[in-house]
Amino acid sequence: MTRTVRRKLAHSKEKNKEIVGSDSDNPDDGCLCSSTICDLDWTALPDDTAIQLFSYLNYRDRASLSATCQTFRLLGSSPCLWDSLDLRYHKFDITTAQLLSSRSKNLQKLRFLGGESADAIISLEARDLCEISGYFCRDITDATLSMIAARHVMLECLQLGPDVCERITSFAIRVIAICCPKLKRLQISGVKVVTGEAINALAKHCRQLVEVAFMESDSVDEFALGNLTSVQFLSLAGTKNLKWNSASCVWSKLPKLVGLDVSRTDITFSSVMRLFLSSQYLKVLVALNCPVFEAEVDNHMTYNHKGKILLTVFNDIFKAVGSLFVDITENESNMLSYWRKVKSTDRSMDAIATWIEWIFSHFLLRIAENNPKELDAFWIKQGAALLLDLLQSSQEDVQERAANSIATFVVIDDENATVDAQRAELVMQNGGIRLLLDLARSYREGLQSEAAKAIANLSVDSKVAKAVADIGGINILAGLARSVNRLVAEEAAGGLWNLSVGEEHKVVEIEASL
Amino acid sequence: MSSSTDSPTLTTETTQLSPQPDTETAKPTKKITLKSSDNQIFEVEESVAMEFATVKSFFEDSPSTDTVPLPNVTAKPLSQVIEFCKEQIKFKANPDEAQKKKYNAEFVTEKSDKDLVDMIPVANYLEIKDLLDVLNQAVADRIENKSVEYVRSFFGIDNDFTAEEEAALRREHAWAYEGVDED
Repeated sequence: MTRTVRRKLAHSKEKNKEIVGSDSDNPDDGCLCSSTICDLDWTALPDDTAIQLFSYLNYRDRASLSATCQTFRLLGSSPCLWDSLDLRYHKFDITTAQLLSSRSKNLQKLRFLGGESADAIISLEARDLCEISGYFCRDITDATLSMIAARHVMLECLQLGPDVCERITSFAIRVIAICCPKLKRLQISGVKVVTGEAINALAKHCRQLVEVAFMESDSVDEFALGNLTSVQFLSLAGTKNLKWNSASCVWSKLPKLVGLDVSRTDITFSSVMRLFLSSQYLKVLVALNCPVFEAEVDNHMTYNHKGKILLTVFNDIFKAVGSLFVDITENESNMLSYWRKVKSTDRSMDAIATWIEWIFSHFLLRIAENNPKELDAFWIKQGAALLLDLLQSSQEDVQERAANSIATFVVIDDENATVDAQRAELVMQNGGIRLLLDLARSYREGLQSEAAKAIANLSVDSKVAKAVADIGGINILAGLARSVNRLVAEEAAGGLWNLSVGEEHKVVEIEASL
Repeated sequence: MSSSTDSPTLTTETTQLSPQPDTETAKPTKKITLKSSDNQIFEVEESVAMEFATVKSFFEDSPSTDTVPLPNVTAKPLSQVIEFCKEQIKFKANPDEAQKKKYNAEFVTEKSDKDLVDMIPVANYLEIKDLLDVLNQAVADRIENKSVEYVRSFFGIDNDFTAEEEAALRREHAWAYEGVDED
């Protein structure tokens, strides 16, 4: 039972009849040979067997397994287990960061929550960190963000949102530009004013910048954006006070622009048309919920022009997106899933699909929160279906936002906790309950809590509650209600409560399962 | 209504040690012999054996062989692994995600802790990715939120830490347990 033998079998082209039994003559076997499996000694197994098991555990269980014996302690600190950290559900302060620093040498990807955690990032001493995603960063300051940028010069991806980062200014963006020349993605929500100086610094220093989003800003220098010549994907969703005439002239000349998102802005019809028709490489223009444009647009206009698509709330998004990826129009309702299958074959299309999912998950979450009356029909027609599709995305943050959006969009009156029966049943009829229950079973706590919350809210509707109970949802929620993650436990308990309301027989069932 | 005599090809027999010749089926399927470390012989259909990447590449390297020795695998976990793979073949022929999930869940639920733990190295050795995934997840579920002591006994591990080392570990891991209610 050695790793070497297995590899040899998998890769060797030589004929060797003795190959299976040849473990004794591999010099690099070391102590890994175990004679029999009857008396299985886990500490004597090939490293990768145990490391693989570690990868199925959350941080608490990893800690417990590491604390069993010396061998597991060593295996549990294998760099490959610590290339990504999600510390949103842990108290991530300087003390924690210092404890983790010995394991952070290989850290590539970090997710954190809140300003205090942001202050602790530097203490991780993870100099190779290339991806940082911050949630609830309302109180993160310029000073903190500048320090993070200065200490992580390998940074390729920085995402702060979807909550607005009110205290961040263009000063920090300039520091990021100067310190992080490898930056590829920069997505920040709610920086009040993004100055030309900051954008020009990005244009000058970050020559590999591909994806930029300045969302929910009060002002962004539209002329300077025209200097971001490497950018392929640009989003200004929810940003106000843009001068659309000049913006559309300048942006349509961006030499590499493939995807542009101007959703929830006051863009005009003529600017949409200019961008759509004259941007040379543009493939996707997203203009969802843009009231000025929608008032002017002719409902019969075509949304597909020379291989470019325009996505609005009243065209068929599945069909339009599908047309980008395939000529045929079969199986239209499942187009987004379809691109996941074709993705691997074409990397540029892969990037487009990934970006569209990201943009939609943000848009849907935002409109689920604000719940504008004029989008009622959109939810029924395709919004709900889009959410279910995004639940199956390969991007974890997209899945989380989709689950969060489902939890939010079914509640139409916060004060009285009224759940819209039509919306709830739409989710149910399209297999949403099963998808959410699967996510709730995920070992990733972010998904667990969002999915549990969605099930909890949906279960206010009695038909949905029955469906949840029928497919074994009570057991899943009962399991989550015991979670040591308080957030997960609370959402799950809420779900159980909603399932029990008004149906006596279920209370018994829930008590039995607890 | 079909009687039991005209059983369709898809219903593979469940016996592992002494399979009967499948006279009813139209085309005879090739059998492959696997030999466990405790010298038990398993005759399995070729399609099942090809689920084991290790066995598959063994055959690619030496096609004329008729018995594959598995010196690191004992009979009991091997028979369970074969049982699992037979079912997977059926799902390959007739994809039904819901049924497959259900089967996979039941497969692990009815196994003892020891059975699961014993099968992992076998699945790993034979490179059966799906099974390994199911097993790892099942073990992860069983040790979730359990104490260090519990995990030790689950895997049959002896504590080889000194008291000082244990104290150091507790400090080192404190962050991971933050907010956990002791129960």
